[in-house]
Amino acid sequence: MDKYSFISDLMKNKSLTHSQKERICQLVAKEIKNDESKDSEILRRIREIEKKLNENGGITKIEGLKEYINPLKQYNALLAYNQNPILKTTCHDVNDYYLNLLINKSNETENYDFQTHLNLIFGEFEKISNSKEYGFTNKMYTLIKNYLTGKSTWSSQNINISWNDGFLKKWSKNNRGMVPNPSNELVENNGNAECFLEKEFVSKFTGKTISTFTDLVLFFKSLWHIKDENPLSNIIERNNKSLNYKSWADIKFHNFSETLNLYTDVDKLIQAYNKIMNLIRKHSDNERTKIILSFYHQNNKKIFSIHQSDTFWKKSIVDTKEKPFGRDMEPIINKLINGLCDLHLRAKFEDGKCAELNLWDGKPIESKPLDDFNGVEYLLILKK
Amino acid sequence: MIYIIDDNKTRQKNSGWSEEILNKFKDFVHPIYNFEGLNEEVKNEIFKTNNNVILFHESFFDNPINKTKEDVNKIKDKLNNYNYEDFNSFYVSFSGSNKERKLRKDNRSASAPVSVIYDNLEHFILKFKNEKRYDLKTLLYGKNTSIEPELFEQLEKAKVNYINEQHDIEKNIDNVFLFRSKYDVNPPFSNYSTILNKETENGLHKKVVDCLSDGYFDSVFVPLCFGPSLSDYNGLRLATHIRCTQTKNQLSRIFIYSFLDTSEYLNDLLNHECFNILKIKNIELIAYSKKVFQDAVLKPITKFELKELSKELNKLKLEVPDNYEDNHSIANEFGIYQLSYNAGIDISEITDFDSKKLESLYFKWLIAKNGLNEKLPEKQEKENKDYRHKLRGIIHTGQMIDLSKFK
Repeated sequence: MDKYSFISDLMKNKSLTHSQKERICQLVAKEIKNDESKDSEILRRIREIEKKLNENGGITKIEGLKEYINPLKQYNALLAYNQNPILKTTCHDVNDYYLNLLINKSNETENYDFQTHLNLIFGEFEKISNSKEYGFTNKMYTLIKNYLTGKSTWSSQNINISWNDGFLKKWSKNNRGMVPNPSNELVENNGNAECFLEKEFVSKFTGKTISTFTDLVLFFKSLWHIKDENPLSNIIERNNKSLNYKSWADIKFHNFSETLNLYTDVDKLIQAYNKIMNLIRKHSDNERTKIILSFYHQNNKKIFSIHQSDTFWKKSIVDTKEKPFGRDMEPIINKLINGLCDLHLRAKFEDGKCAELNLWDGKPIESKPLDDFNGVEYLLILKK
Repeated sequence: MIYIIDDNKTRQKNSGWSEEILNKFKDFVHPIYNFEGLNEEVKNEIFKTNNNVILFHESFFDNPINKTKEDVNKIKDKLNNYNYEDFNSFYVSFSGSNKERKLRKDNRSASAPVSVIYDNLEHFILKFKNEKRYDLKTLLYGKNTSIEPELFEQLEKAKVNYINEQHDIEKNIDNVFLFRSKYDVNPPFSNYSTILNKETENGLHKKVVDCLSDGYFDSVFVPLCFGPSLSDYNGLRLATHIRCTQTKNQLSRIFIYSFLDTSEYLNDLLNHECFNILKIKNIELIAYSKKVFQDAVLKPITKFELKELSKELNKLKLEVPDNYEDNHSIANEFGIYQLSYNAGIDISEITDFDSKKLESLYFKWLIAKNGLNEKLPEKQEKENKDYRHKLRGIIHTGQMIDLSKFK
């Protein structure tokens, strides 16, 4: 075994602490320096080592916290789901193009057949969820699975209608050759009947009424796709109103994009937002506090920021780096933030210094000094 | 120029924008169906010249022929966030999965359902032609931009209230028929039909005949607002059609249900040609509520007979439709109808008489208010039959009835 293979194997060892890994890197660098043969092969191997280091998370597990999950994994999984032509029919209404595609996929009939469609859906979902390329979080996987199979209720609204529902099968039997989630054009031009839900409801995110199966399919999509028709600002405003935040906070939307496209777990994002708002309220000295919300695109990142402008972070930078998460924050990281987004903190610290800390992004926590900064800002980096 | 970036030609055609129509508007509209059509030259025209409108179908890049390695969300973000203001241009994304019309604060970008874009595109072009400026509100709401957004907002609120209402409508009510707008909540009764936009545009005669000819219903529910433009208050027209069309339900009680606080829109309603239908017996305007629907069904029915219809319909004052040259031409045609009725001749036997006219609301109203859909007394019918061959002056040419002999 040559020394590089030895180093490479050593890096695979997950039990190494961060400081041990850093030490190994230093030794490797020293070794390379000493080595006169600086050819491309060596450089390639260094890159390999770096890659392995990053794959292992590059961070010592902080006690009580789960292993870091890169949010990009879920983004890619949702992107793949949305671009898969069969699964796309479970999160969009079906137009003539997709209807023909479904008919062509069916070897048995010349017309659309619901059961064939259902089998195709289950097959494609299995493929995507087993693929090593992507990674749904457990919560998202369960949501989609229950939405498709009806094994249990899904979403925080506990919906019990699924693609596998007896009601839908009965409808399909009575409306042979028709898709249960037709586009407006299929209804207007092809006479495709609408599939009315037995019980209508109102989406707590969008405030829209969900009356037909087409509405339900689009409701499902609204749970993981923020876009101009389903903007985060509307969802947050609705949430703020129902939780009566204005009774204790003056909330302003500033630099808040209504057009950014993002695949994410909307439900989880709102829960994380509410938890941070609760923390702000709990630790606020003032009766009322000022909060600025932003949602923007910066250097390829999509950032949702919650900025309490009339306060400071009640710890020093060093203390925060040593013990970044208190009792309140730990479950938020474990249950909500991990896999959803990275978390940075920008603040004026107790000692009057201002800095940005990467609290949760898979890398060791570092502080970048800021010239001047007022308040405490939580940066939820949803895509990078 | 308006650039329509939509990969689906069939969708365009089905939405009323065939190649022929697109060609008619070729000075204003440039359709793009694939990457080839979106070449560098066209891209430069779109993004580097002034006064353009980009209508982008969100699934354009999902079509296998337009698949790209780039993350489609990145492309959409770029399109969304391009600085259109610098070029005085506009951007509208549309898709089938989009159920809402949304004009952003800058009035320069918007999103909408597919049907809305194609339904209103002609209004949008004509407005640009007349005013030399693009108005996205027209693209989103058609001709009545001042009131439509408000009506859609009210409809949404009414639907939420309806669903949240703690009242269940009794199941199995089968003596009621409900017409519903496609924007409405689900039908609360087992007998219903959704009115599609194309049915509204084609006139409502066929819809009424198809739905109300077979069975008798005590009550017929009609939405006040439906069709591509809510502010057309098409429900008043539909109720008038029901009263003027010979079906088993011509005299059934009609409830026009409305999500509007009608007192606020009274002026608009008063100006509607069919407003007076609300003054006709057994027609009532009711609120959009489960309880109100249930109460309406249970209300005792006031007797209404065919012999009263003529008098009641005289309360309406319909205008001669635009497609008639003048009052004389309609008087002539109605005269023919009257003659054939009195002579006991089926109007369909008169080959040159355009029977399509009988489907128009105006003609049906004339017939009904003049009692021509009542059956003639048997004696009179017999006499008419006996004398009809003895009448001098009517020359049946096989082509037309020559009315000049009656001068």
